[in-house]
Amino acid sequence: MSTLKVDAIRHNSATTDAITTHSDGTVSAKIIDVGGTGLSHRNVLRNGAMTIHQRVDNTTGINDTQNYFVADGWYYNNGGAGTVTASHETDSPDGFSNSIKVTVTSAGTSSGYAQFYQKIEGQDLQRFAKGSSGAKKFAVSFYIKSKVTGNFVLDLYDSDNARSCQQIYTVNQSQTWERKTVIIPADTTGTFDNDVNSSLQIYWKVFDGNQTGTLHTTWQAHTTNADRGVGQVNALASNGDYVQITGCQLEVGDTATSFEHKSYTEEIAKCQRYYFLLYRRGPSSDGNICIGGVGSCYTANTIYIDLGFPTQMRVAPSLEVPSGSTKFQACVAAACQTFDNIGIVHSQKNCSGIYGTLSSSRTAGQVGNTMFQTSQWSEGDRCAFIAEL
Amino acid sequence: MAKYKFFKNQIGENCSVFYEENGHRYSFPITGLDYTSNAEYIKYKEWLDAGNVTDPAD
Repeated sequence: MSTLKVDAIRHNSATTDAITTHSDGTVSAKIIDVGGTGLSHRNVLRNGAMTIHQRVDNTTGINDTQNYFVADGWYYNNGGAGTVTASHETDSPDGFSNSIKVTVTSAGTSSGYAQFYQKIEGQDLQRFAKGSSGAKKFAVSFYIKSKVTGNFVLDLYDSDNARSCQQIYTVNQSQTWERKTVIIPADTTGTFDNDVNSSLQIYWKVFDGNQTGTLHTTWQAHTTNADRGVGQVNALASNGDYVQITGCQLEVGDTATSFEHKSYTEEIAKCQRYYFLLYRRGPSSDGNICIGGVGSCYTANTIYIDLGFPTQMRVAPSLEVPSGSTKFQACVAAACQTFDNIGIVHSQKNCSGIYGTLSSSRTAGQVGNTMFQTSQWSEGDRCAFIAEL
Repeated sequence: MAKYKFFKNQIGENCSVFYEENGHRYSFPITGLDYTSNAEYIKYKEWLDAGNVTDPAD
């Protein structure tokens, strides 16, 4: 062990010092990047610490090929891997508060697949310069905890150009949080579209029962899914087997930096670009809860509510509300009545209208406040705007 | 009855489409700005392209 004692460090050709050391043990440095990427906002993934889970519900009894959200931005996808529960958990490594988890409740066959994944907008991927001579590497880091140890596959899929690349990493200890780093090579072929659509999907495989061919350890044209999980251990082989991940980061370069924590405010805003939950009912009624927009009677029997979004959504969103009558209430001119037959109208990225039919007539032009009548809602019912990739 | 049904705005235009599933009602725009990359609209377009026909609005 030796200590280098200097007052400054300067490049041979430079005229000023890059690093100046101070007598109190501190240093001033002129840092222009971290591992080849920016000093902040390095993480391309959203909700990498799994802190945001607007949908709240965990999903039990998954035994199909649908996509399920285990946290905002994070899908779990399962085909023939038996029956599992996909959940949002508080168990996490030091410095984190949440993780996502898949647990086997009824083991399946040796075919099929299971994976966590996230889709990323093309316009957020331009920093990788993919498809150019200056293309950059992809540094992926994350924490994983698995009951089954062995080799796992991390898979990147470029959906704009149908190209993929995978790398193997190893889970060494059972039921123990481990931090992993995977470096994916640069790709000088296939540019990411600069738009709001999904250009890259990043998969954390936990099971792949259809393994033929050779893993793409460099970027190659995608011809079959069968070679994208070669070498993946079956981490969902037996009842009670589980895999958890958190602290997921994707950044430019060949160096995985420490996880870039964000405030709740920053992360929820990022997630609301794709999913904006206005209200979700819990186990008990919350009474009458404000919708957030004034209602106006366009005709005697119809009500129109304008709502602005807290952040610009990816596209003009869909609206999810509970079905049935008596879920919504409008109090207009000193009389309250319910309204239903709800639909989204005039939707765009920054605001939308909600339009419904009043249960009793008012006078066109009257205005009033509007509410969710949550005593009539069931647990898990939501009013949300959806612009997912 | 088709999976999807038109929804009219206050001036009687078919401006969105809705469907109901598991006790939830989903509606999404089919006119205006920035709707063609909505994931629900893309699925709906595929459904239309397969020869299906949307139910008229109430």
